[in-house]
Amino acid sequence: MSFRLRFESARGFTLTNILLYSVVPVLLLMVWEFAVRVGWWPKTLIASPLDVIYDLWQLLISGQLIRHTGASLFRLFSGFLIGTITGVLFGSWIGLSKLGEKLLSPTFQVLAPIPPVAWIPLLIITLGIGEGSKIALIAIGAFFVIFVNTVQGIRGTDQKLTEVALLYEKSHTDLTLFVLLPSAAPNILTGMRVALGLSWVLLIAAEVIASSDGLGWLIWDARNFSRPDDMLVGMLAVGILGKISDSAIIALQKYALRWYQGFKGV
Amino acid sequence: MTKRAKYTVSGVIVLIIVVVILGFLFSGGKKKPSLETVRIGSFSTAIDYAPYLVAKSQKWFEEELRKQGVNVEYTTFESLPPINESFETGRVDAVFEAEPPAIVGRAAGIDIRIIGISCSLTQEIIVPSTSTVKEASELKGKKIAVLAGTSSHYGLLKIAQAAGLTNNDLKIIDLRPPDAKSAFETGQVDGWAVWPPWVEQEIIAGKGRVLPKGDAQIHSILAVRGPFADAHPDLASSLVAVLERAKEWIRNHPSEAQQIVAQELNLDPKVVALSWSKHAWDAQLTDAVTTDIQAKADFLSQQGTIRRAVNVKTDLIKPLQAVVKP
Repeated sequence: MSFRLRFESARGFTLTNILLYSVVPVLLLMVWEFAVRVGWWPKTLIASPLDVIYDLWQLLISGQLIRHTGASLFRLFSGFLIGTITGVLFGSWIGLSKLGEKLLSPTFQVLAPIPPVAWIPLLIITLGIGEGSKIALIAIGAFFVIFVNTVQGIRGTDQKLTEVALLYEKSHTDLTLFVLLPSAAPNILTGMRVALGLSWVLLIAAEVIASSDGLGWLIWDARNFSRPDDMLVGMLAVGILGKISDSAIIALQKYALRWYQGFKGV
Repeated sequence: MTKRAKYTVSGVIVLIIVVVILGFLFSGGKKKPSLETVRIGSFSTAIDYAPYLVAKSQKWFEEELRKQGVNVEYTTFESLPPINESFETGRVDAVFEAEPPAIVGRAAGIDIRIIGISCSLTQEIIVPSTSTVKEASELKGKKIAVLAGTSSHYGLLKIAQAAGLTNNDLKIIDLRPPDAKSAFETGQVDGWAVWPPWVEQEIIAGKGRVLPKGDAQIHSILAVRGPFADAHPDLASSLVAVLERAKEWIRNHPSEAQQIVAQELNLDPKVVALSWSKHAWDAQLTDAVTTDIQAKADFLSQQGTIRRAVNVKTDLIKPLQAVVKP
């Protein structure tokens, strides 16, 4: 079998593939249902898959799940967008300009390793307990990932390309827009993908603080009041939405980098 | 199906079967009745655990339990869910907490028993010292911080109900005490339902004052894991005996007790002194207290906070089995 053939078949929804896709999930669900039924896992803390599906339906028709999802997605995308835009802007400035690097680099290098959740107390004091602090937490997390990737992308541009541009006496704007940024694009998009994953993590952390809606709050509140089925529905919803958002970023990556030749796996 | 796919599928199936079999083998020999260590926990920072803190600092638990050849370990829980999770999975044996978390756990089917009581006190609500609010009924439409599921959460709802407010009249903000403190001091919430010493810290700092007390009673309890109480009634009785000894000592030596609590919780002694008289250190698990806990269980179930009703007398407070010595 050639690489090409296998690559094609790995993407299609043929019967074999659907079977292969479902092997692990179905077996995991079976083990889970079994473990709860025979009492390995206490029913009081972990609901069985069938209970979860029933509860999922209940939360869907009561509109609760939609409300929590809506609140979470709003926070997630607001934070992620703010983080992405500021990350690319500051990253580009530091990447392009020695002055920018000298002015900002030391500060950002110290701030970047701080785990975003450590900002929570400061965010509560400065931005309050409303939406602001939650969005800001996600934005901080996304910002540093994208910022670092942008700087790296710009500074990693092949010198041959910049030399050619300079040889043709291209302006700084042209050099930036048509050489440096496109060359940094794969890095920036990878950063966006990582940042989106991190945003979900931070969203769940943020929604534990002073919330009354959102999927993270649903998970937390259900755990607080021993409602394991609600808790697992919340986790499942985050998993599925996380996968969808990741696929969306990959699609964006493919579209934006359609000129880019990379290794596509065997 | 290609050969590789077939191998993969059968490999995963074999793996799962192995895991299931191993699980069965290991679950068989897990639970041994003999016990080497009793694990005692407490929740958050509160003055109402004073008997526990005194007994712990004087090593009375060790003194009493080592007679029976058992060691003691201590843990502090910063949030509520891990307490019930630890009870259910046998990772903690006894916890000093208030009754609502025990009621919530019991309603979810976790076997928890209340075997002792540290003290009783009345729930208070504090408002910023600059606030114009004078009584609970004026809290309508205000933002109130409270940690969901705690005794103070119950107390807040109860006070609101007594003041003629419904749940929708209050904006309840779920915050852990340290976060609530920042929110309260920066004016982001209009009130805070919490327990001592958090209340007194705000009063002494001049940042808050309490509203006139309602009638929401809080009982600080000693909860144990059901299977622990059934398998080791003698150890459970020893815990109660130590608790009673500590309560008596506290009543007879209030100033030393306050000093110990201030030290153990790393608090300003003034804060401890201010809160001291709010606690009834002679409280017992009387019928009146049982009735009050039952009223709480009913209230929480009417509120929809818990899904199932709890019968306190039959489910939560069971007498410890008489010890049969061979």
